[in-house]
Amino acid sequence: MDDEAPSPYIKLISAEGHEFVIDRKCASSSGTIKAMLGGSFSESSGEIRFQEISTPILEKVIQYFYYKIRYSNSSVRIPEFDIDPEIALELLMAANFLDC
Amino acid sequence: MAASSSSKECGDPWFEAEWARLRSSFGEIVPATSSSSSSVSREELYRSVEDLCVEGFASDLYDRVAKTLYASAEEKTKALDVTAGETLLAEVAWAWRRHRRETEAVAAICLYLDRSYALKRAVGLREAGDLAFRRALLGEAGLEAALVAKARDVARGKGPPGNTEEAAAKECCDMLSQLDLYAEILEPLILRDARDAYAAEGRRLSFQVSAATTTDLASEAAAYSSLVSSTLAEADARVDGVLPERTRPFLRAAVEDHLVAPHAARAFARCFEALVDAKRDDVLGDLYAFLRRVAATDVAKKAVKDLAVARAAATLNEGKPGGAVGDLLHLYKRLPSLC
Repeated sequence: MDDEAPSPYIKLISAEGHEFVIDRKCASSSGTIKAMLGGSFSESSGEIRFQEISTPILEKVIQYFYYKIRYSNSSVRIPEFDIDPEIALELLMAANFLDC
Repeated sequence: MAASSSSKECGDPWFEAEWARLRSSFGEIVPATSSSSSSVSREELYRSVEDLCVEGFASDLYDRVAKTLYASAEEKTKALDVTAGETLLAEVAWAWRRHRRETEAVAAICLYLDRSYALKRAVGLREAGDLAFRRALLGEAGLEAALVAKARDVARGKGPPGNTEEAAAKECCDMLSQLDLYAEILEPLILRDARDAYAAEGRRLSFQVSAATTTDLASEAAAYSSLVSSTLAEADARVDGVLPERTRPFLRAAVEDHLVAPHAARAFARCFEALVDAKRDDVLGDLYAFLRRVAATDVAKKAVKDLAVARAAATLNEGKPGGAVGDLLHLYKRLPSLC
């Protein structure tokens, strides 16, 4: 298993069981996810289950990952990342948890 | 590491239960190697640490983790046999490697604690692990002295060439550097040994030169050049093989102090004419490089000038065509490129 290169995609699973397959490099925008994928834990297989992050929040976080990768070191005008005020607090807590 | 106060009393049942779960995970995750994954979920452990921190138990958790790291380090250093002799360095290196792996695993599990508490109000967990091993190493009776003595022996080259002790000694020296102990307990002794050896060699050189009856000054200069070059190379090899990079300039300075500064100028002045006549540009280049190391290139200038004047006078007196003076001046200009 570990002689092969890791897959370029990983799977993030929300509290409700929804699975999101995303680019490993984008997911590594989160310090927490990046650390989980390294090392000898069960998550090193490329599948991380977040028991306390709901589906809409996880989806928004993943959108942010792609937004960050897209516009980091970019010379084009960076559009605002829209956040619905209703999810702001929960999103803040998730961002704190994921270190992103 | 002193325990810090907490707004909540230690011994809280929930805290103790969570701590017990974390503590058992430390022992479970370490044996897993890069070729196998543990079944332990890092997300669960990370969340547990986050919950403890959010609920105000960060300082208690940090204290427990720091004490665990120290207990683990102490267990390893106590298990070392200070009379092990040949294998001591390898055993210490192994203990250090194991401790670092454990610290890394603990820091990985307690990542939230590190970034939200430790790095802001105390030392990070990785550094705490280093400090724990340092304290355990210094606290074990006789271990520091035995380790230093053995590392010193290997650094002095005592032992068969290419022995495996060198790799272990290098690892131990790197460990001591990481623990801020190398400069304090080992480097001064290694430098003292080197200076003593180079000083003895320098005294032998002085005796040899003063007692010399040889007329083959070119060979004498070549031997001196070879001695200094090989001593410098040997010093570099000791750093490449065993010692930390920071020791390199000190060792080279010791060679310069005892072998170059007292002898290079005299060797150049004494042997210059012979080297010119023997067309030994290689040795001339080496000697000029030594003069440059000790900022004494004026000696070369004077030697060229003196010889040029002498040869010019001889040429005039004997009525021979003078091309030698021009050659000497040309050589002086070329000296830096011969180094």
